Amino acid sequence: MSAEEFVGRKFHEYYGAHFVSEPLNIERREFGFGVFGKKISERHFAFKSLQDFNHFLRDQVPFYASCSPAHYEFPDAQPMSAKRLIGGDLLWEFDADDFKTPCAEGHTLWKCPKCSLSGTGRQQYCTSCGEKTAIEEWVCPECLDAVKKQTLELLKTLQDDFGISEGLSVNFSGSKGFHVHLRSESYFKIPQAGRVEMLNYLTGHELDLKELGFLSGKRALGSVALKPAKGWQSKVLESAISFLEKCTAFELHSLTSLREKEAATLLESREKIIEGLREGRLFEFGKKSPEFWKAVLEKSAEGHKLKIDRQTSIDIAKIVRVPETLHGSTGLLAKKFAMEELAGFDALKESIVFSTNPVRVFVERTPRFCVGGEWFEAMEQKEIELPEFAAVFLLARNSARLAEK
Amino acid sequence: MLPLGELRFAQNYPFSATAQSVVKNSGISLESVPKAVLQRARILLSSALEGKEHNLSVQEDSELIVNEVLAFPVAKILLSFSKNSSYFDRFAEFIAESSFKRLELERNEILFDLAQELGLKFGLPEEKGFFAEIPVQEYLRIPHSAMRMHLVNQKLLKGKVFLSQSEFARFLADAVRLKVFQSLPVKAEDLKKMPESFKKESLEIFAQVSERQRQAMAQVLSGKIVVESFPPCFSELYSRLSSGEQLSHYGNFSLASFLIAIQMPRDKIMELYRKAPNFDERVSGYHIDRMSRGKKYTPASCNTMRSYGLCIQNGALCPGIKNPLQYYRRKLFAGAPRLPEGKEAPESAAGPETEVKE
Repeated sequence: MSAEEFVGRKFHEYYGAHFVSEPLNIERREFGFGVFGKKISERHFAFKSLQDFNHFLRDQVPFYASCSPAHYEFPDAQPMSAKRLIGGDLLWEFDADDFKTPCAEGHTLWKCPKCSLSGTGRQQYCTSCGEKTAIEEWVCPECLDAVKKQTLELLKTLQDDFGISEGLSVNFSGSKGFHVHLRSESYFKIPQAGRVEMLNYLTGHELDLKELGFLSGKRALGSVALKPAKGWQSKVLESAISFLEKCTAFELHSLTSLREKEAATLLESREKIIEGLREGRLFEFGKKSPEFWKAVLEKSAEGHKLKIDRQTSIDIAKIVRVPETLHGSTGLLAKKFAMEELAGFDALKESIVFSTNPVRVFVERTPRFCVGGEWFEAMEQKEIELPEFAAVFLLARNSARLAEK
Repeated sequence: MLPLGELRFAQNYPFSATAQSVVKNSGISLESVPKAVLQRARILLSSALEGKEHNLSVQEDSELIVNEVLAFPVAKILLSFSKNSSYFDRFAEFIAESSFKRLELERNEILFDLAQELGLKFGLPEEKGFFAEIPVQEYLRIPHSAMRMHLVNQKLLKGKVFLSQSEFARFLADAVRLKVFQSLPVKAEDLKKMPESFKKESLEIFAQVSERQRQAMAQVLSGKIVVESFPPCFSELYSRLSSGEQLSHYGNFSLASFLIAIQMPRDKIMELYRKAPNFDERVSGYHIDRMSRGKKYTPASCNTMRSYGLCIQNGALCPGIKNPLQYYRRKLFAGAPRLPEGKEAPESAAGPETEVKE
């Protein structure tokens, strides 16, 4: 039996036994589906009800199911303009690939298509023949944790700055990240330019410290007091204060143009500096002051910039994974969960839907990887018995084939 | 007739409900627009399309003020004959900018009156130091082009944007731009009511304008490809691709559509894309052919480039430019675009060569 056939059968069993109760407002959305190895092979589908959608999942067993955040009058019409846009959800996507966490070096594989040399890490060109390599990305709990932190920060900003308390929902993408959906009447009709503005706010794109009231004025040392500060003003100030409360002279020297000795002298006035910052004054200590504050404030802003996938967030017509459906590259569920569960959510464990029954597979090549709460050692050209969920995980991503009996 | 104060308000803000009631009460029908009104409408229109300053004459005579007020809807009708949305955009921008200049000098009540007339949602903040608070959804409904008005540079808390008086004036001007733009073109039945001779005259005006533009464009395009005149965004993408860097999907797509639009030969485009690490002759060839021969793709506007994070320094290097093609055309045709004081034109990222060499 081929990997495709085996994974297809497993998906069929799953959809036969589970009712997918997503997405909301199903009748207004465009759907697209993918086959083994291809995320979207057909689109412009529409369903009148969740029952119809579930029938389709059971009958056709797609490897990937995606739908639009956009709501249309005629979701299956073509071309796109004939669908007649009514409005849409807002969607923010985080993907571990965008985070470049140090752990990725250990679980990213490369292979040369010309001389077949392979290795670990993000090696772009073959170390032997110089040919462009093929890169294979994997994820681990550490990179998903980095994604999770940003997702939590996003939810906090949406609540604190935008005052959004209802209509938010979070789900695992089923592979490398998280999706946050906002289904809210008051944001339903926000035009495209407004979506971009909102995304820019969240990602700090086009952030201008001077426009925010910092580093302005005659001597470029204008600032804002913590009390009336709002939006990015508060984020920048709070981070700057927290950094200056703890930083060492060496850290300050590494960040700014100050020599370590100068930084140490400056830190003797730490309390005064922080007090000034709270009250809207940037401490002046000579010629290097403007440059120093620029570096400190820019660093403070940087930490709050969310690494959201721009394309997915801007393009309302782009179709994305339907929550609670299976991901064809992993066999994991795009699991939806309550916001308060996010901090403790173990995506690679809690999205498992397949059994622990043993399945014998022949593994092509993997790094050390984690799935279902278990770590598996790196393997290459090896026949092994794995629990079904791990076998599906490897078969779906073409890293293994079923062992011949 | 309204009191002089209200008439002046209508003259200053010709899109307002007050101005609309002046038009309604004037008793003038579209079939019998006085020559003086037509004359003012023509001046208003040419000021808008050619980017000139339009100074409102300070009139004491109510009738003359009414003529000024009437000139606005007539200008909109004339403009609608052009069916050209870039003219609509320029006109809306012009009206918004004129309004902003006046709004900055107005008393607080006038700002609030106008906000109400425009149907904008706003509140008066309890916290000192702010002039008005706007629900963020309302703020996002209106496009804002000034850097300081971008949401990321605003004071946002619990779903409200807190504005100073000057920012509120800018917010109103941005709402005016949207309102005027959305009101164009006027209804087809109003266009039908205009005398035939006037329609003909309007079309001639626009034909002249577009002919001038066409000639300018043709002249630009008939020449060689001058890489150093590329706008900063495409200069950057061009340079990165030339040095073998892999561009994002949108970077590739927008650069290709720009190069096609300035009529770079296919083989030159392919030669450039061949440097991409993920180059595939068949795929790239297919896309370039499809973009140039099949479905026409308009090169991305500055707004779109900004959306995808491809704009350089948030447009600070190209003030007044809305489309990268416009930059290229201006730089080739009329020298470098106007730059802010103290800023120099960006060096071409592509190096000293000014042409694409064999």
